[in-house]
Amino acid sequence: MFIGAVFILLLVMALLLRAFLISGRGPASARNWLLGGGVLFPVVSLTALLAYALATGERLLAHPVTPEPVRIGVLGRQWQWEVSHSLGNGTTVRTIGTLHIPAGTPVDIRVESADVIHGFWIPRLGGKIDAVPGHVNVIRLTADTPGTYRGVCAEFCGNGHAGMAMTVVAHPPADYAAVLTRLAADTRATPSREIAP
Amino acid sequence: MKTISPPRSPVRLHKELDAVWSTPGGWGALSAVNHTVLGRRFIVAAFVFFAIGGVLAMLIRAQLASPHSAFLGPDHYNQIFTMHGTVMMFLFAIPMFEGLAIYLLPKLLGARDLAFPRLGAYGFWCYVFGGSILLVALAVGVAPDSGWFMYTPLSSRAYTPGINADVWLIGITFVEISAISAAVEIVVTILKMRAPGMSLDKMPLLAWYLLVTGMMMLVGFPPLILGSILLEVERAFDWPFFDPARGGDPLLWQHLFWLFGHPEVYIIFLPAAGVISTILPVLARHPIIGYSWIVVSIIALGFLSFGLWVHHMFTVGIPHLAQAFFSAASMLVAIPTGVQVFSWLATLTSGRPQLKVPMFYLLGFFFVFVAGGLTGVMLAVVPFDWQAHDTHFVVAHLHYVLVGGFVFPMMAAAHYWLPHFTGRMPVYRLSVTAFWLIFVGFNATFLLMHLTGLRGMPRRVHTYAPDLGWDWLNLLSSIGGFVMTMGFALFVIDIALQLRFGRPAPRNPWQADTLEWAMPTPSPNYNFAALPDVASRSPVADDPDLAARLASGEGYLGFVRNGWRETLGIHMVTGKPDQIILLPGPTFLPLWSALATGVFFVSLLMKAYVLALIGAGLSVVLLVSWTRGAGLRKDHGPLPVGRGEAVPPHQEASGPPSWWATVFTLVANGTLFSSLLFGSLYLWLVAPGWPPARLLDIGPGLPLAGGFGLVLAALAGRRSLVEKAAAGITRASLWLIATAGGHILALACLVRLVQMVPDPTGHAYAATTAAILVYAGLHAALGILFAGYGWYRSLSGYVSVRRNLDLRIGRLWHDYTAVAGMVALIMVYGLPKVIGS
Amino acid sequence: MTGRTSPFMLLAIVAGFIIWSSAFTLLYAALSFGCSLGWQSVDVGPVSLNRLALILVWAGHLAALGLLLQWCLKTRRDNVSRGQPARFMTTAALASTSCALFATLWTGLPITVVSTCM
Repeated sequence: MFIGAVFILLLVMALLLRAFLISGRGPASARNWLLGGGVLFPVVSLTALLAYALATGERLLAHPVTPEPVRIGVLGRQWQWEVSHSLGNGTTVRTIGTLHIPAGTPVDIRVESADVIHGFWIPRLGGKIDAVPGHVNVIRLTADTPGTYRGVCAEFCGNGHAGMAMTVVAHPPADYAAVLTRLAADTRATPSREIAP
Repeated sequence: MKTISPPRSPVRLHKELDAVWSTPGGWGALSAVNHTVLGRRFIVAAFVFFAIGGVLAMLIRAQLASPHSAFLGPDHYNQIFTMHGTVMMFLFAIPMFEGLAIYLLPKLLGARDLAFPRLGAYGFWCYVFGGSILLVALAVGVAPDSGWFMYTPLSSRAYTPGINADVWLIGITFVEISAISAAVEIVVTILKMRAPGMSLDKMPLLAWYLLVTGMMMLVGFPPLILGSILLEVERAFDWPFFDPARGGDPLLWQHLFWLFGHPEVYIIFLPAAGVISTILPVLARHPIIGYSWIVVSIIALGFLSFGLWVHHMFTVGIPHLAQAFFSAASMLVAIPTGVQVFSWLATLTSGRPQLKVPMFYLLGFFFVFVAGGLTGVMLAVVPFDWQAHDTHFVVAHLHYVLVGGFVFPMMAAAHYWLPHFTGRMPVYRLSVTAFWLIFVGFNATFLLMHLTGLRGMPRRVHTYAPDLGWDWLNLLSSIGGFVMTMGFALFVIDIALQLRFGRPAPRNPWQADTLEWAMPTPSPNYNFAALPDVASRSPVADDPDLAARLASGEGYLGFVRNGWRETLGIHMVTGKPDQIILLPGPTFLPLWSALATGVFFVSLLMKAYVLALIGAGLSVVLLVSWTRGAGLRKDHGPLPVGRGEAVPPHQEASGPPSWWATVFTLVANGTLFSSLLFGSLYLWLVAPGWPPARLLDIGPGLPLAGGFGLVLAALAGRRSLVEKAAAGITRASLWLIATAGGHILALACLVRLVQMVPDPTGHAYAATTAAILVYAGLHAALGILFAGYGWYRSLSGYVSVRRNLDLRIGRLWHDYTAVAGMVALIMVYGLPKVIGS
Repeated sequence: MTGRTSPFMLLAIVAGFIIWSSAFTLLYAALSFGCSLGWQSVDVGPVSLNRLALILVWAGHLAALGLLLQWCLKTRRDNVSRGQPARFMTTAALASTSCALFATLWTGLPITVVSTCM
């Protein structure tokens, strides 16, 4: 897409330069020129782009799959993220500002807001979804490799907007259950570092 | 009646016309209604706001130049970026092109003024006063701080308890009055006031662009005005339109805002594209290639741009198919834009382009705008948008589109029409240096910003950590920003120098072929001593002596009659003259009316609602008083207009400008009402917390009685026109009284219904129901006013069988009120039945 | 001045795109309506009730545009020899209606493939 865009930009610039170099010799048929450059060319390239866009969009949606993906709840509020990890036995582990996910498998994140609109975004995992009061939005993310990923609030939410960060820790799938159990054992699930504005 | 005395010389004719069309000096200048004066004022005011917006941008760039900067705290930063967006969009871009249109349109079309000179003046004062409210708030530190998009609930009372959000809602709505009035004026002038013979196929392309832009404003601004009213009512009286806890939905605000906000981008772009289609062929010395293609492209863009708004909302959790509709439409707009770009390229290639100052800006436009358009197509790809949304990538994209698609063409326009404004030519060297500073500075600022965004920097953060790879990008962006500012400063110096030292411009310095160059520069206050007869798309090229012939009174209306300000009205399509339009002279009434309107808005801001009511009443009284003494007390029949033709004055013509203005105002009004109905249905279908605990439980009696009153009013209003023709004044007056009676009955029923609605603060259902009823009630109340006004005008001799304009305008209102009122009653009566079942 | 030159022709120029607007609005509304009533899980033959409703709305508007296009073709044939501005007006109406037809076809395409309520 990026290469295509640069190509089109260069093409238009070249045509512009040509206009100054060989003045007085316009296109033989204005109709064919406008039809070709203004209509046919964009129609063909846009059709391909739209098909590609829709297919990619479909692939990223949270379609029902087996086995069921891990579900994590995220509640945005001014100005922190509260995360609920389900242990599977009916109990949940709450953390502030840290998401624990298994690497290599899709995770469905239910995003809600307690006050104003926030934007849930982990840049390196791709995709973002707004936390809108009164609505529950689900986004499916996959971290390919274990590690730590930085997350931010993307939608302007007031004075603390810049500091409303979070950390995603992707654990090897084999360790994930143990991590959650250990977190649950520590009843006061450690609030992670909060970045001061 | 005085007879027409043929003037002896061009100088004598000039003196006579000048006496009729001049604007007084001193304090009297505030009474100006002339379009040349108002256009200049709009442009200067808009440029002042541009400078203010620019200073705010520099503060933003200063803050972001380094990580962990302590220059601004978040509270100030939030006010500054909110005001930067607000000022640039509402107080610079829109008024700037309005100013250009107001100055240029009559000259381009071959008329002596716009259709509604006093409305233009009123719009100007509303713009200046509304903008001042925002500036005062900025100066005292209570400026809006929830972003120029004002998303709820951040902008609702719970999270913005101060006056900040009210300043935005009330100040901007005040300014919107000027946008709507300018739109009506632009549309009616283009359709009805062109030079004789200028049929639609011979109209300059800029007029086509402005026609479509004007129509878009009439349909695009009402959703925002409605949204602002609803949000202000929520903030002031706790009606929960946007509160998810009580059946409202914050997403409704986003829909209403972007339903305006996306077309807004094209409302800004189209006039600029019109400027390009005007200037580029002149500098290329070749007529534009593909006139009809461009006309169809503009119309297509005008419509398609309304199908894009949800692409600002791809991340709010809307079904993928809905996103796909908007994604497809967003890509589609690339086609009509592409047609225009290729038409411009073809014109350049066919001609012999000259590298004059405006051409530099046109070339800058090509690069910047095409790049911005391409990133726009990228953002229309839903999955890409999910990643890039709300990052600095979008900031870069929108500046490429808006600066490339508006500021660069406007700079070209400034240099191109400067000789027309001042009678002096641009100074090449300084202007080109300014261009290069602006062009290089702009790209340095925003090209890199794409990368900053892709590296994950979100928008609207006042600070960032040093270890994220954003430092040097932001620093370079800031440096670029300051280079660009130097360029604009040089532009100001350049203009000032030209005013003082510029070489006097020869007549028609660019060898252009449009009518605005067929007059002396700077232009006389009546534009044309005689109106031209147009036979092609390039009237000035056809007849190099046209300016001299017109100055000597050769053409239409080349004389002064009865001291009237006369210009010609034509058939919309063919351009055949069908009326003489009599225009009003200088008056302070627009200023007083705008001040009264200002009292209304400032009182709302101060929560002094009694005073607000007084202000509103005063505004209505003053606005009605504009018509005092307007009109004719006797029938004139066709009057000679020159070249052996005779047409009646507009009061006796079938489609006068004010009648069309009423039609177009009702289009805007209807859009506002449709948005309200859309909001009501949207909340029912999508918002959480439905169905409400209490519904309006009524029998059919009250709605039927109200509907009967509305229909009675409409039928009696029509009947008054028939009677006027048949039986004279008494019977017609009786029918007007019946009209008022119908409205009174409807109003009584509507007031009773409002009282029966459950507490509007309890649930959004009750709030929207009450709002719909209040809307209908307000129209019935104004219907009484219209009927009474028609009656009064009949009694005072302004109405006859021929001169029945006042009654016909009233009839439009009664008809509209009947239709809208019936829809309101059906909705209010029917919706609870559907929800309940 | 003969041929189609009444102000009515201005409406004819925009009529196609008004139909496009109607299609666009109704498709979006029908989708929201269907999703809030759970139509995506009611199957009618090979497609869901939701998709069927959308296809019907889409097809209806395409048919209306087809008729309009036919009228434009005829009007243009009758007016092409009548000189300006009749020729320009009827050509513009024809071109703009064709664009609107293409736009309606294009914006509706995703109906056939994309998930409805997700």
